[in-house]
Amino acid sequence: MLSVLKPGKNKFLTIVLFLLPSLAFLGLFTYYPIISSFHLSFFRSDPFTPKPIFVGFQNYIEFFHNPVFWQVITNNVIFAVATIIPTMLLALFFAILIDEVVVKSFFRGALFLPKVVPYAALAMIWVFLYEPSIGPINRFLDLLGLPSIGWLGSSEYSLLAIIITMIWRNFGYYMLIYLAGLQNISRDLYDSARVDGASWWKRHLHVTIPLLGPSTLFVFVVSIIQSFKAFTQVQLMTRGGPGYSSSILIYYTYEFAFKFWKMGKASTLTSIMILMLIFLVILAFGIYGRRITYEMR
Amino acid sequence: MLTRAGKWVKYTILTVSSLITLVPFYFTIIMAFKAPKQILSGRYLLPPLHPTVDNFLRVFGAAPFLTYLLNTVLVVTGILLLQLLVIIPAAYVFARIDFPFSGAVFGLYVIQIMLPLQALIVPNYRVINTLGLVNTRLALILPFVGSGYCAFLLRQTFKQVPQSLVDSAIIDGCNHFGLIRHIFLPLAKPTIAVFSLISVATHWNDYLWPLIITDNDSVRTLTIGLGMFVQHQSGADWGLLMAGTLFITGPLVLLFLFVQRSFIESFMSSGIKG
Amino acid sequence: MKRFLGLSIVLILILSLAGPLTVAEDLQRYKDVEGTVKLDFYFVVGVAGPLATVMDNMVEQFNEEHPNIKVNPVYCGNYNDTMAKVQSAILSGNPPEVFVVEISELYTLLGIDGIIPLDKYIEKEGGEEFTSQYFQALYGNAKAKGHIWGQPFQRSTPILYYNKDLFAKNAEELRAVGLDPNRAPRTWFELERYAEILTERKNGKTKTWGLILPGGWNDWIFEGFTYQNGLPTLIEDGEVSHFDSLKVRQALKFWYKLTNEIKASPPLKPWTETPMAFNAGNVGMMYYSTGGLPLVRKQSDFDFGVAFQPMHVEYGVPVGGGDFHISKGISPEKQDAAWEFIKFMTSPEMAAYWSRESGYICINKKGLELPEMQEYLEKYPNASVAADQLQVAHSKIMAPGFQEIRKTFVANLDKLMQGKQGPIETQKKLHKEVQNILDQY
Repeated sequence: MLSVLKPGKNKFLTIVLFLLPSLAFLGLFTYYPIISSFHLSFFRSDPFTPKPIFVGFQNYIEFFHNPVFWQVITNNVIFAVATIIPTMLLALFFAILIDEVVVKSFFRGALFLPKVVPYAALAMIWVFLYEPSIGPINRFLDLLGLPSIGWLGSSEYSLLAIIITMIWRNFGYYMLIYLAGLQNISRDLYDSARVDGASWWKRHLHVTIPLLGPSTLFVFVVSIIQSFKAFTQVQLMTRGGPGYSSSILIYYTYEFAFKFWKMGKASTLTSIMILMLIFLVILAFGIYGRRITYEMR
Repeated sequence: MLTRAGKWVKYTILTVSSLITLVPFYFTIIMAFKAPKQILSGRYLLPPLHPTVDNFLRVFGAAPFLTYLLNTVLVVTGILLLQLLVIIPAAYVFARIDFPFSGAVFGLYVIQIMLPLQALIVPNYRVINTLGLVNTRLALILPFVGSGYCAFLLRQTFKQVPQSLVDSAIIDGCNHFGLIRHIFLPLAKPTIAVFSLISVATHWNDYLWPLIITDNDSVRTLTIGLGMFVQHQSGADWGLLMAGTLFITGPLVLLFLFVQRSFIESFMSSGIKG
Repeated sequence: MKRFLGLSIVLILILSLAGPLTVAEDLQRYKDVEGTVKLDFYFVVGVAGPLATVMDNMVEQFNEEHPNIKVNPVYCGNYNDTMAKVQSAILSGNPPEVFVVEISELYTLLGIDGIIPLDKYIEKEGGEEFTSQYFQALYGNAKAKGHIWGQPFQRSTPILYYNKDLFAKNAEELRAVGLDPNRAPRTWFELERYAEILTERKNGKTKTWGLILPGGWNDWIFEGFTYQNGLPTLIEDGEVSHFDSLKVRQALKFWYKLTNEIKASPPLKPWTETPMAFNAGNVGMMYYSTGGLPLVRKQSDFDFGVAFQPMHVEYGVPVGGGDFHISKGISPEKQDAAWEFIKFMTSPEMAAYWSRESGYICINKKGLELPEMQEYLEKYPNASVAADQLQVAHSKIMAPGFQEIRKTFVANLDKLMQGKQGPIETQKKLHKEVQNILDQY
């Protein structure tokens, strides 16, 4: 029976047979959900409206007029920018340092280790570190004579506190990506830069960073996606609070769906999230697009 | 050539940064072996003089963590095996067979990489609900099976297989299955190892999806079990929490320490190709 | 390749474990094997909570005494999580037969048509005669539309905890302004003075906090302040918001004063960490649920007392906690069995046992008369304060969409307590947002 799958024969059957299983999964759990969430985003559906009622753009309009929605979007943007930039800088910095020393593996391992910690565990650990009265961070600040910080219990710091945990966990991973990228850069380029008398900073600024473009694109795209996924820490560390100060889009959506059970509005938020993601990814590829195509092939 | 001073500066920076990065691990470990009173008094900074395993006993007494562990292992292996099972043939087709719109179809897989399941929990919950799978382990597995990332990595690898090898196998009478088994998979072993490590580490970590899809100890995973720890109504018992934290992090950290090389290499190569 | 085959075999093995196991569970759930009625019981407590064990004991005893019923307790975490689980189970047509959720959710449960009234069962047990064994104040949140929908179980009132040692330490200063260091404050005015005196700062850092107004459930604690100020209810019939009342504004102003002007309370201490902070010994007073009692008793190494929450116009607190409910869409046999279970769990013996272990109120008055309860109350006279406070307790706010109301309630109080928003602005926003939510339904 398998002989029908000989190369050159029944090409169409082969393709269908080989693609169908994975396409079925993609269809059922990625593309159908996308379509259905856009569809439901135009309906009112909540515990008291068991049969969804078509309301057109009303859900969207209500969100656009809701200051809390804008606060959540702002938080999401702050969250993304404030995690991505420091993470990338730290990753790049340490990648270059490690690339230039002889003993690599210990530092590589130590800086990467946080990536292995599950987010649920990370949340637990950092809730303790941030504990305002007996927690190590405030005690350290105390030692330096600095004022204590309310961290998770304060509107100013709760989002920052979560951002710090993201940076801690991820910069080691991105460092590895950059390290891999560095291996592809020819040593000759550095040597000729050195001959020209370029300093350490200059060499990296003009040689390393431009050539790491593909790695940077990858890191950028992955971090953008990360910032839309960071649910666990928010749920376990602050529950979006105090107030809405650390609510980001994914947590806000979760609340509408599984706390208020407003599936229509939750679908609206999901659709907005999908559109934002697609827009950002297209943007990223647009900026770096040409340089990356060669690399991705 | 490095100057001596420059070298020192670099090593100092690296050492200090590594230690700072490791501080949270230090606290987790020492706290897990301390009695609650020692922690409350605030004098917990040094390793305990009289370490106690009491916290661990209480963790196991309080929640079925072994069931959680079993569930987690079942779920992550289930995801990985199914991913490989459905994606390998697809990647093979994309890498080796030309057909109209193959680029567009492959695009569907690439886009999936950019749309994390977390963003789609609401509609996916409704799908799983319609299938009647809420509160089953299967529900924890299925949505992750169609991995665009896996397709991407494998297609890259399969493309690099020399056509001459394939041709001679065809002359020997191999069909597509035979080609995949005897030529492509053996050559793709490193890539599969890379993907496996990443997949296991990723799904060990899943939290949001299991949170909404399970409500029963018999199907809960480790991360959810740990999450429930913090949320009981009164009192944050740090020793207990850290013992639980250590238990769910331990397996991954050990895995990391044992296969550090391949772990690091996996994650390094996840970038270039992905 | 053999490995590939092996892979598939492992896969099949795993799937058989993952799939059929749960299918079997489902079958068990719906087919009553040999006439045994199986009940899933969703319950509010973290798996790790010490109360999980207590609950296990109670359920086990019930199962032993009722060979034809088997109750399976499912621990769902805190109130929010449990309600989310119950809601999703009901809406997906697969409800747990019996469950405990927070009392304010009643209207939502009615809205999704998820529960049955208990009147007929109560009637069968003797009507008033049956209900009269329970504290009547607790039924306020169980009644709606002329029916009784819930049976009180895990009930509390917020009480005032105070650190007697710290009071004694500050005795001179307290006496100097005419306050008695041997008792808790009785009025808002006194509360403010005590809190101010007990708060101790050094180099701009607070060493001792006068009191804690905790975060997380600050809506519940604040509700009490409005009752103490003479407001009868915050939301009338689940329809009309009274957040615009002058009495609410005065209470908000008082909170603002405590937290931002005299800075006597740390801002938004997380609910679960509050008792630990109190137990550490450098907090004068704490507003907290009576459910915190066992923990404070166990961990504090100082002398502590509990008291009624101070009054302003009158004494008053909201009741709190959770009630039993029976699901709609299940067979009558299951509903009957669920009632048996509820009756057992709220019987004098069980109510008293639960109260002793959990710190919650012994909801059954007959339970208080049991010798073991008498002995316990003699040993811990603190334990009766919450129940005594029931005389002045109000029903907790109830409304459809309570989770949404609670969210905005907490969010606005958070802002007030951190000084981000003054009392008047807070009141305006709260009233508008709450009324908006109420109008949706």
